[in-house]
Amino acid sequence: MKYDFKAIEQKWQKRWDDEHTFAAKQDFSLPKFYALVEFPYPSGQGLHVGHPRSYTALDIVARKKRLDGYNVLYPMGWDAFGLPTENFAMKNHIHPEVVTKNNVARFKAQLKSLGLSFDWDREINTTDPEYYKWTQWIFLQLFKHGLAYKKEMSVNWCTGCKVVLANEEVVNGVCERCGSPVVHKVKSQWMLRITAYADRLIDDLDTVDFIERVKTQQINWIGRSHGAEVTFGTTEGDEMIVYTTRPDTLFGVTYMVIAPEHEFVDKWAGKIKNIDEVRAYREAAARKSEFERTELAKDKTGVKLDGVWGINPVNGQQIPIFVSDYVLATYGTGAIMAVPGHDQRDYDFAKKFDLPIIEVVAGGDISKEAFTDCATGMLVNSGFLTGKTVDEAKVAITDWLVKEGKGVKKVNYKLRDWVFSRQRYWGEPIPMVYCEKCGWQPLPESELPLRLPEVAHYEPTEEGESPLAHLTDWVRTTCPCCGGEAKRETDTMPQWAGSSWYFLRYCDPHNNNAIASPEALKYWSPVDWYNGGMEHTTLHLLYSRFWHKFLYDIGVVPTSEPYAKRTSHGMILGENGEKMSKSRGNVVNPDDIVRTYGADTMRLYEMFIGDFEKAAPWSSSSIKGCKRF
Amino acid sequence: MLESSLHKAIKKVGEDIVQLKMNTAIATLMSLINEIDAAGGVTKDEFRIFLLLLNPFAPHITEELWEMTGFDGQIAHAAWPVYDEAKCHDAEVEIAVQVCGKVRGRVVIAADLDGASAIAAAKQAAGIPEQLAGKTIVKEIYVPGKLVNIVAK
Repeated sequence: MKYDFKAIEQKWQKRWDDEHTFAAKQDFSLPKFYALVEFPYPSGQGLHVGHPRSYTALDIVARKKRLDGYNVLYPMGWDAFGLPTENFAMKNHIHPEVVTKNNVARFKAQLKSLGLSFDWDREINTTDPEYYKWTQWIFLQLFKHGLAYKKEMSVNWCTGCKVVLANEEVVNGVCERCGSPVVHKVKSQWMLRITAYADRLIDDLDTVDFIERVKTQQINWIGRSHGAEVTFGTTEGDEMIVYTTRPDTLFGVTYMVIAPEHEFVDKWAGKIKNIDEVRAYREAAARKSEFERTELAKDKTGVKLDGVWGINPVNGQQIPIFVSDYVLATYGTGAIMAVPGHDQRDYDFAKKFDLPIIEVVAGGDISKEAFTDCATGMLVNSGFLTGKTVDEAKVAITDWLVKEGKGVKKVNYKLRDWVFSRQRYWGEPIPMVYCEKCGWQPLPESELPLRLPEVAHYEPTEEGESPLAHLTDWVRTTCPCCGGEAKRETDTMPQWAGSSWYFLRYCDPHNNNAIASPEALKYWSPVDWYNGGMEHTTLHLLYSRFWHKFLYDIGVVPTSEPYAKRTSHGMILGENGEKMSKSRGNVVNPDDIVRTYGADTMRLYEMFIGDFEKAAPWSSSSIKGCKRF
Repeated sequence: MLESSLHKAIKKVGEDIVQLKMNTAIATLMSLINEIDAAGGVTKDEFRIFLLLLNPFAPHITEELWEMTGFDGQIAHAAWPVYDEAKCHDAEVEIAVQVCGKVRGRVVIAADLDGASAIAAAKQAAGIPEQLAGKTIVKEIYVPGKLVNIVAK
């Protein structure tokens, strides 16, 4: 007997659709299960065989939970703002909205052909004004609570996309998306104060069931460290503050380094004898990416400030000050103290510039190399700290610094605030207005959604302004505060905005009065199981936890964490074991598989391919085995 | 035999799904199919259970077979089968027989057999008496359901 999978699969897909078989019930008395997978960005290429792996796995869980009697919410939607659509639109002179509509239609048909049991009644699209109205609303709440602010800052600038990138979007010094070099540029940007939540984003990981590698990556990314801020003097009388996790090694400090962009360079210009050399060095540094400056250059360069000295607060000694590009003005205080006896980078630098090297923790041989295994041990050559253990010395020196007014105890984070502006068209307009008299003012909530206006050109201006800046009539408005003349913000939100809260909208997707009703949020929260890619760990996953915690703090959502459980799937590799990509010519199109073998076979194969967490190579011969089964 | 395999499969597939061990769940279903083939057929109720276990993985074909067999409604609205813990245990198991740590033979025994009887059975397994001939037994170990190891000099 021949099994006509094509006719039979279509028959059931139609029946599931017509009968809304997988629609989650609005009966809040039933036991609930909320399964979530990352909604895709509907690109022009259509679905990739990697998408169905995650979707099918949680589909199996969702179907099992339904059979177990749970009221299951397994929704799907479209994370549709973003550059590829905009670039495609620019190139082909089609409105991004039309491009999005076509891509969504293709994706949806593909997902349905796989027999995924999504509740299509709750489909959402981040580019729908009825959706981004609430993204804008959340932004306004962040602004009103002091968590959104505008700042002139040195930002990562992609030379290819002509757009500001978040640190998370810069990978190995190049743009995560297009691979173009990333340089620094000073621009006025909207920022979100994610750092205010740094401690809770770490500590609350104890309350959720995330796989270990996700927790570890988030903790390392936030990078909390305990130490002290130490105030060094200078021969100019200015105080220079540095952060250190090792204040116990202060007696070993033999020089300081400041960022080439440090404000003191200009302030002291008259005193610095080699100012021309210092400025030339600064210009060269500005042309390098952050990654090049801090990671790539093995050989550390620098220029000594001739004529100005730092003063070590513990012993009053004068020490030289260098500018070096591995110190960033945007990180910490833009100045560091150097302990060449116990840090290999400082050691190499000291050798190169012939600076003294002092041993302050016993145990190594500093005539050969820095002694870096110094987390424990005994202090030497350290005045009143000599003879103490490292732990004792940390406490003693911090107390001394505080008493002398030369330092404070400080917790530091690697995490930076989130750059929340993009000079692009295809994103949520930022609902803010600038008035010369009243400053930045939020739009009244009654004026949301602030719709994206129509433009003739989607390209950013040469100065890197958003294409919205061309629209004089749209930009010109009145101040919501004083009624005077004012200008709209022309930057748009980054593509991470809409996905930072989308799981909440699924709970009540057609609500016109709130992001979702409190009853629906109470019933469905938190997401019981969220599966997605490891590449989102320090981006989407962290951002959405931050927004959720904020919404919890202002009483909008009932739980402090959005996701009870997070798992991650391995990538599907090409037949040759390499990452699938067009340039390698090893891409497998899921449509072809479904057409040749049927959706059930495709599902079985994707699940049979190996350990879910690990990467798995595609194999056409073993899919035939699944077909026979 | 098939009844026990079905109960074991209900347990195993259900547990594997929520641990995302989809590959081992599918392997269980594949060996179940082979057993059904070998048995020459299934009762309607056994078939019903099999369809439910396969449904999350292969939803279309199971809906179709569910309808063809005349079960009520959509399988998507049915309930996951319940297993009987007692029936998840095999009546008999095949264990390995080791002499001085090396596998020298295999023997089928009752799953709930006590240690002394298991060791006695192991000593009689094909090929084992020859291995033990002329040696003094120093130690005998029974790992329930898995193996017997006889240390002899």
